[in-house]
Amino acid sequence: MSQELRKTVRINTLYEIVDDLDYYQLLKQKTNCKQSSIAPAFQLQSKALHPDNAPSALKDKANYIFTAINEAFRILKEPQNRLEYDGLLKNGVIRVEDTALRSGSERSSANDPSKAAQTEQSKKYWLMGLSDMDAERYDSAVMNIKFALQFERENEVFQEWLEKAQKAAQEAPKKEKNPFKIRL
Amino acid sequence: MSLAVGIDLGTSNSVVSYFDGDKVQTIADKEGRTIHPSVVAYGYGNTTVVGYRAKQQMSYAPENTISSAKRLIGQHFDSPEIQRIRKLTSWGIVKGIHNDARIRVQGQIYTPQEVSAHVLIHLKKTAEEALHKPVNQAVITVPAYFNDQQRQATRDAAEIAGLECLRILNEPTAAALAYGHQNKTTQHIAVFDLGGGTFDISILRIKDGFYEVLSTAGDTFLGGDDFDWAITEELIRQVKQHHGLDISKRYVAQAKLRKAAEEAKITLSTEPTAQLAIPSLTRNKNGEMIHFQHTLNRRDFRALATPLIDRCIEVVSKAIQEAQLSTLQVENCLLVGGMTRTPLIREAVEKFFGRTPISSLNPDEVVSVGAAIQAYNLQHQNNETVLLDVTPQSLGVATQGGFISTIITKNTSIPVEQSQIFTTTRDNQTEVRIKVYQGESGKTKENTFLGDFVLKDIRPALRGEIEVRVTFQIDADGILQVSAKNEETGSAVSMYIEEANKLSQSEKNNLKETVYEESS
Ligand SMILES: Nc1ncnc2c1ncn2[C@@H]1O[C@H](COP(=O)(O)OP(=O)(O)OP(=O)(O)O)[C@@H](O)[C@H]1O
Ligand SMILES: [Mg+2]
Repeated sequence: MSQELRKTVRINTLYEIVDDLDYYQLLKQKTNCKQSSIAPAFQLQSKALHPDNAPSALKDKANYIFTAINEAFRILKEPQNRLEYDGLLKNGVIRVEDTALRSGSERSSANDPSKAAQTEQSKKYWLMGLSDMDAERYDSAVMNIKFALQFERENEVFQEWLEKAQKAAQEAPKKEKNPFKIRL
Repeated sequence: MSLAVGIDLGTSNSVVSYFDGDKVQTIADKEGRTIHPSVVAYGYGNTTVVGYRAKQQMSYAPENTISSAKRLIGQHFDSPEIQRIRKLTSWGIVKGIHNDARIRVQGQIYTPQEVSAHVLIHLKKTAEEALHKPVNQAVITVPAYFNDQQRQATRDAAEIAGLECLRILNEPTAAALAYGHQNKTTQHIAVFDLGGGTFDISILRIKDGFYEVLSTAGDTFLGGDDFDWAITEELIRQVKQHHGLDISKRYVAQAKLRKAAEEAKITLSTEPTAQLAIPSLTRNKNGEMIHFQHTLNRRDFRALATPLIDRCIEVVSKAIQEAQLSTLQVENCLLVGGMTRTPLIREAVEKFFGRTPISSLNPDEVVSVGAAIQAYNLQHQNNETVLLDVTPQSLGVATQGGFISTIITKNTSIPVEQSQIFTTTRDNQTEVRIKVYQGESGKTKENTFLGDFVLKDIRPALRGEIEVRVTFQIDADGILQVSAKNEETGSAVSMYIEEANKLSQSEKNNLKETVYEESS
């Protein structure tokens, strides 16, 4: 088979099954692979499947496939995220919305709520509360924000979010327990 | 077959290169020059000249001579940057029908896209003359920190010029590609690009033809022009002090000072002092001619330049942080752009990274060389090279109270798809308007508005009951598509953001005709 033909077949086949592949399968790795083998695996898959290198007629399909591969690398390259993902994978979740995984990290906005904590003690609970909110774990958010408030009773941002969290917890009593949003 | 070239469409200068799979060639005009001023001069009637001839006209007819159109492209008229440069240009800047910034010369209004199209046509013709073949496709570079609108406006300029834009490529990424083409070692590299109008820094990892951008940061209003203005302002103060005359409203005199300021800046790159002499600068209130003379030394220049250099270094440290690296892990630093010939800047970069920057590549040509290589790769689907770039700025949607909910954070590798669920905010709400913004501030007011659309026919219900999933997709071309889906009914709407800001097809067709008329 010519290289071009092999590529066409590979892209067409992958396109059919890509939605059912987990991040390890997308990178052609075993679930227990070494952390250091993730990046090289991603590089190999990139060379093989990046849409820029796909035949013109298959660009859209390649783009779809490679978006998933890129996502796999984004999650698995961070050991902490990988660990959380491994837990989910055991429960059959193959793709995650990584907004939830991302929420703990700094965001650079002027009125970023994650900067609202003034003390080290409150900050810890506050950030947990915020990531609970992001992941729609409202009960847990209420608890964490209350903890944060114990260290900083006057913090208006905390108070405001506590209200939001309590309301959300009431309104959405039977939300899925899963901390991540599952893709369609 | 028509050829595909790489074009560095710069604020001050543009460069075009061609890669045939074997050798890269930076294309020279008949006089042997490879760097073409991005200047367009409108003459009387329908004539225009571009490049060196236009630049010559700058000092005697500044009001008809457009330089730095790139600073206006894809900008809102109301933006603070535009309002600031309005005061500095010798031609008018007016508001266009899309609230865009347009240029007024001799009572005629031009879009920055048209002006850039003139430059592109000039480059296309130069390339065709040198290569003896038609050139119909190009990879065109833009500052990495350009937002979506500025990129789209650049695509429009290409279309008006009759060039198929194969890809909008980030300038520092292009430079890294040119570097990696020569140097095959695995490494982290920082590309420091200070040109005429913009500053970019990108941090990349290069390994066996695999180019991964780890982070990028920049300032689209920080470049050589600003150093020139800082010197010009000093010269205006000198004129006032020694001749008692305020010339801040005299554009011809100011244009002369500005030209002298740039020359002095360039002289100071190699000499300890620069002599400025402008005979017949302007007339004073008594009608006597002023002959202006001044000496600028490196110490004076340092004082004027330091605040600007500090701004660059601040941006660099942000990028390093975003890449989750320390300066020690960055093995090499590549300097790009004419301004990096200034010793003060080399010093600042060297001090920051603790190593001597690479100087084996021509800082003026390297961006277009990278673009040419990418043009070849895209045309031939070369399997040896992969370029993974990132979104330079965060993307999100407006939520209640003028805040932004970020959906794709800056420095995320593309292509990417991410989504978030929103709920209705009012009881019995039957439609939701999705407003898309770009930028790092959490407030809509401080970010760039990209476009909006409406998801209709929502079942009347209590607020918070109906869920809408908003999905952002960016493909490998960097084109953003936003969609909203009613999770209850499955009905969805989507839009390509580029269409929101584009000049309409009829506008573009009209421009195509006029631009070709003028340049023939
Ligand atoms: N020898 C030199 N020393 C100092 N500055 C220089 C020198 N040569 C050129 N410059 C300055 O470099 C700038 C132009 O650089 P360059 O041609 O790289 O910019 P550009 O590509 O047109 O702009 P941009 O990349 O911002 O769109 C001008 O401000 C010019 O004055
Ligand atoms: Mg440049």
